[in-house]
Amino acid sequence: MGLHLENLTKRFDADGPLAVDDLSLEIEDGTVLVLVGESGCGKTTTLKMINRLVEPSSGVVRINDNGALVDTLSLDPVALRRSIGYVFQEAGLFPHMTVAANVGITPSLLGWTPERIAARTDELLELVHLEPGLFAKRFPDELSGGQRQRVGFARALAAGPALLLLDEPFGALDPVTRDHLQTEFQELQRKLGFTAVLVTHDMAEALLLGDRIAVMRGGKIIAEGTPRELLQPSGLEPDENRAYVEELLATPRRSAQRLEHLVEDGADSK
Amino acid sequence: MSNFAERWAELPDLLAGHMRLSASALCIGIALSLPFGVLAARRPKWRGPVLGVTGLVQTIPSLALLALMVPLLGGRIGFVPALIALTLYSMLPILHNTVIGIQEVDPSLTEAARGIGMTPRQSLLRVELPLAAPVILAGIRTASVWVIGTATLATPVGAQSLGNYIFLGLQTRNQLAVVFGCVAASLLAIAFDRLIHVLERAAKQRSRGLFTVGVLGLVLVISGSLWPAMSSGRSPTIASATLVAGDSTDATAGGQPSTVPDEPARPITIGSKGFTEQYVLADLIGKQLAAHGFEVDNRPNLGSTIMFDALREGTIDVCVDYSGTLWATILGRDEPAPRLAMRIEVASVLLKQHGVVMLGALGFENAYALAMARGRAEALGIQSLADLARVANLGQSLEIGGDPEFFGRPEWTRVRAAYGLEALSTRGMDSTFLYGAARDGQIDVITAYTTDGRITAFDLQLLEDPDEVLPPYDAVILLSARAARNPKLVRALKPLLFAISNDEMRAANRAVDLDGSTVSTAADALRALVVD
Repeated sequence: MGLHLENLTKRFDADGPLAVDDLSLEIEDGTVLVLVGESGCGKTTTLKMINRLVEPSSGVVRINDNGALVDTLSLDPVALRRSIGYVFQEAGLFPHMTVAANVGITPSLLGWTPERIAARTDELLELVHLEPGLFAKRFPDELSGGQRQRVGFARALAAGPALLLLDEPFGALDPVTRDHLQTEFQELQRKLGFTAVLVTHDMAEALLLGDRIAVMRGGKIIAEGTPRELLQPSGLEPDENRAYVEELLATPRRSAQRLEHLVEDGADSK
Repeated sequence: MSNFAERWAELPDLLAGHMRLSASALCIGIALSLPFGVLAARRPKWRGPVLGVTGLVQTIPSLALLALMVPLLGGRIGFVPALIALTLYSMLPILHNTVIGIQEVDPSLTEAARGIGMTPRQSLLRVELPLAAPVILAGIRTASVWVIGTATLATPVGAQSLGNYIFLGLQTRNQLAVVFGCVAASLLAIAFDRLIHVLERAAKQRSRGLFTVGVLGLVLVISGSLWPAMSSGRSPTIASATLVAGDSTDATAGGQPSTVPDEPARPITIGSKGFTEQYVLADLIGKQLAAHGFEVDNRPNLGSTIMFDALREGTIDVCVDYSGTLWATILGRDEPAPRLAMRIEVASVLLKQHGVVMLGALGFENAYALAMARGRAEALGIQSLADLARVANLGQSLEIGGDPEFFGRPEWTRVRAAYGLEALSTRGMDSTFLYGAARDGQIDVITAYTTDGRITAFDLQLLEDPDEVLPPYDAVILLSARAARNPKLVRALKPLLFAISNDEMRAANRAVDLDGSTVSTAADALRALVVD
């Protein structure tokens, strides 16, 4: 499912600043787009306008459904959200429901039979590497942070969505768990082929996961391209925005260089 | 029957009445508070008004709220006004906790609910209410303790409750009855508190087993309270039966000749106010009617005007009131009148304007008088109200205690003006404690009822009223329009007219108040004197 965001603008208070300022973006079917930027840049608001958790002040979101562009405003917002998977920061699991109930919630809202929901729940738990017999009956507060986010992924994928929205899904995890889950996310995406829009403030994560990356600042996209394009300064004008992108890229660059040196040193000493 | 046995025998009915009232009020309170609470939590505009109104209701003293319901419902007494007042009273804690509970749900969870495609209603039912459940249950727990406690105050508006024990006990100095009522009401409140607490824990721990235990416990307590009264065949729905009678259209057809020769055996409801003499007379009348084959239902501890309203509406059929009381409170007259003229005037107005029939006087008078401990009166040289004024005006600080009703009556204003008693400070208190307070010198002067047995027992001196300012208070039997058209009932009560002297009434009161007789025994003794 492809996405067209056209001139999206959001102003929360009538006389307040623009949270998102005339943003346009195209996302191709089956690709991962990462929205990256500092907190307050409008990346989460943009994400929430896609499934109408936040209604745009102006502009249109169209979904490309087999070549036909459909304005999301013409769809029932509840039905729209049920058709789109959503992974929340820190999972957002319902603490009064078991793991199985959390995973099966969207199918149950869609009116699936209990047998079908149960089968689907087991299938999904296995997909995210949680043994159903061990985890289905547990409550979220009995799980580790990584296990909770795995359940969060399973819940988002339960109804087989063609589009997944992810709001800082790895932000609250320790580095080792984050690494595992990032890898698993990539495997899942390749296996299932869904389109994904992922929000993060971590440029290294963006470079790692994104087919394309959109860098946001002050409600606008200031740079957009594949990771490779972003890393090559040639394609962009040397202005203030370029300097900002370079700043965001500085840390991953330094890590990569340091790593390269260490590997070379190790090779020399042998 | 011994005092304990008598109290024990009353328990099934009173416990059932108390439970019926409390449980109904709680159920309706929950049913109303939850939607309003959800509305207030969702719409901040509604929050102020909804919480404000219920908060305001809470500031009305519970007894006053109960009493207010009677005139608001056009004089209807019994279950309905008590139910409405208690329901209103139960709402604040439930509403408040519903609002707080829903507001305290983590906003990231309500957003998650929306994000995965729940409608607002699904989010409420599947996420917000379950997460708010422990807080809401805590509100219901508070409400249940309040309602069960406050239901004891439903007695003065004519609803059966464990409060009947407490009011009867306080008025007749029957400590056992007070203890009975308090212990039973407390046990009920504790049971509800503990069992709803179990439900709270079940909600917190998501334990189905604990939830079942709590629900089963509540069902057991409620049915256990209702069952003994139902199985003993004495239906606890008498209140509603008489309310239906009150609704019938014949209530205003006062002076018509008897068109209904013998009414079918519908119970005759006897109303009485909350003091010993009224209990004894109600019991006496009840036994007299029972002896003539009537089925009788008692509605004790009614407030003075509540009792009259109920009589006018036909909710009660028979009661004893006093000419001076009716003269002041029903006729609104404040000028003095001679005894017989007052009685005739009162009877005429009651019949013409209210459809209430004054069958006749019982023969004794229970007037207000001012009384002092004899020793103190002699020491101060006081024999009459004129002496009292003279001493007070000389600078002697004197305090007069009386039931709060008295200081609101015109005769007090008149006596105060006639004798110049403005220098006395007044203190309203329950009449039960007045006599002892005067005897012990805690209070200088009290308002006393002339038939109270404690006047002689405590050696109190009634102050003379040389100008005859205090009005006569002849005890009279009043009948509802329906009762007055029943010749068999009138025949049954006739022997009581002019049959009880001041001394006989005072002796009966004294037997209950001071000698530990039960009301029933005292009434039997009085009836033996009167009828045989």
